[in-house]
Amino acid sequence: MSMSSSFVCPKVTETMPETKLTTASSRETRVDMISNLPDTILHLILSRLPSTDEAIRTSILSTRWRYLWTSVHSLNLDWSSKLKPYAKFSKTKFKKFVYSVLLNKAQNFDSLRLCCLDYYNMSTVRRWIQAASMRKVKSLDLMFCAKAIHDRFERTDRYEVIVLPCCLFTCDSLESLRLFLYRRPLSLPRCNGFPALRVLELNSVHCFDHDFIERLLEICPLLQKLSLIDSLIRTLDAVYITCPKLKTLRVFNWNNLLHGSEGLCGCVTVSCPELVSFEYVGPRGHFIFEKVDSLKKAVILPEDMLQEEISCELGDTCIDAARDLKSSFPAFFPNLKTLELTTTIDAFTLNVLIRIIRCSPNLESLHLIIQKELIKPENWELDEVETWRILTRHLKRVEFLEFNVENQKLDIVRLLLKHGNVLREMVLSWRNKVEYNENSAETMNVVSKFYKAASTVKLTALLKN
Amino acid sequence: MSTSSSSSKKIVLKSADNETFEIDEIVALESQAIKNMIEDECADNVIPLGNIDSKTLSKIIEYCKKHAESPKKDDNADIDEKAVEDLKSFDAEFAKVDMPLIQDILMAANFLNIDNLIGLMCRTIADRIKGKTPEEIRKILNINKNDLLSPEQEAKAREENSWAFD
Repeated sequence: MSMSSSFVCPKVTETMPETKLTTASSRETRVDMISNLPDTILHLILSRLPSTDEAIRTSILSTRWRYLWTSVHSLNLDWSSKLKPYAKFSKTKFKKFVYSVLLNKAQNFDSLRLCCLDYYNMSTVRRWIQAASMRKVKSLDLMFCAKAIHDRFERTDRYEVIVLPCCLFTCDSLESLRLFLYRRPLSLPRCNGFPALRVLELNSVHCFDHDFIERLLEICPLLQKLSLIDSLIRTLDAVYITCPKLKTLRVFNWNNLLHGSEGLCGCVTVSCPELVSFEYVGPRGHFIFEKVDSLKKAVILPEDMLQEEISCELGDTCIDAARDLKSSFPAFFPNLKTLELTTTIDAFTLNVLIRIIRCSPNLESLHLIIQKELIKPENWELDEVETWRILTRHLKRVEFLEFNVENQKLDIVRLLLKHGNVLREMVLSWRNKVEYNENSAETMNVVSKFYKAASTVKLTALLKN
Repeated sequence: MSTSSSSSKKIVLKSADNETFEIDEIVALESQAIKNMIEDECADNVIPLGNIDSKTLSKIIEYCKKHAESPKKDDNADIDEKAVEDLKSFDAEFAKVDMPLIQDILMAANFLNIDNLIGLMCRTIADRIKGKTPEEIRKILNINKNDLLSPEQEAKAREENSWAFD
């Protein structure tokens, strides 16, 4: 099994005849080696440049480079990527540039990123999208929005609802779509949808149609990965996420709490038989898992806990989050192998933890981020030992992602060690270097004396940055 | 955990300047070209690499050795996280060499068909020319001066995509 290899250099490397070598190679004569490389290699170099205009600038390097850039398959047309960053942005020039690239017949592209803020009206952007759809694009990343219309009477800004052209939805080559709409409203047209779409991300999109998600999922029959990031999806009451092929679902609402909007509101029911990974960051949510038999990894982080300085209500909020978690975790996760959970300590969440472990008979790895509480749990008590006995048939690895010495955490460690029959590894990680230096050695000393159901369990203290 | 390294099959490579390098077969397999030769059973003798000098070749062997040793990221994504990180920092260190050597390595990697290494070198070159003016890029890449566009051709190219040159 050993992959090790012995590389024997017959002559000692230091005595290599350096001078003789360089004459043999390009190093002294300095011929133009790069231009002698095959096109495929030069295309690779060009495609690694951050934006298409950089690739275009190589067209004047030499005759060899003149048209190489037209073979770059992934286009990145971004108003902000400029050679001279402080030069004035010319709307007309950029518009011409986008057209010339998109309509250039010699250009074979399969991926397009277009970023143009609110510089162009929707009819122009729609034409660009149309052009890309006609060119059989596979991946689209669009960042744009319409200019706000100022309402002089109401003294507010109104936003035109963005309607994407139908040809985008019917484009049978499109496999991946990302929309970043600067918090502007999006509406779905009444047309059949995305015959080939597998990856979809809505970022900073506001959707006011009450059945938006349901309709969206309906027109994406092959969708495998859905990300809803900082998007406000207004629904009447409950959102029903059901999608036959969906494997990854990510809901990240980092900003919404700060902006006072609610993100994905109401109750979310997830019913996706092939879902493997579920990640949620956002205001505490009500999740009901219906058909998630394939779920292997779940990360749940109620955003309330990120907002450190919100108020001393925090303690209550966390407990609420935990309570929600409890009431909406009736599901059985037969395949869940990894769970990362952010929570607070009190007897209540410990019960939740036990509950989750109980309904995840195959859970192998548990990552716990246990936040400090502002309100000390008064009735700290551990659950009856009975419950603990059964939690441990599969759990192999537990990691505390932000350990700091608190008795309650040590109690959790003690219990997991005591009942972890097959536990192989317990990692206590610190983020704070000072605390790590002060406490880790002693903690490990204490922990090493705990009773361990699995005698071979490996204990590790770790400093993570 | 065995001492397979001593018993495993060896491959001998010979550089343009007649230096021979004995490496484990598993390391040589990183090169698709050598792999094909091994599969075709024509790698029993010394493999002459007439267009790769020993400095370049020893760099390439260093790369292949590291990549052959690290676990392939297949099944267990969790465990391999550290190995992936380790490989990343190795690659970053590896690429810290001057442009002529990078081009020699790229040329050789292309000849030996080592995909990852081609990718790494292309990334490195792209990183070094990004944000640079055409004049600067010509200098960095040592573009042949006899092959420049005529002033008229250059003006036309700039005109075609004037936005990119502003």
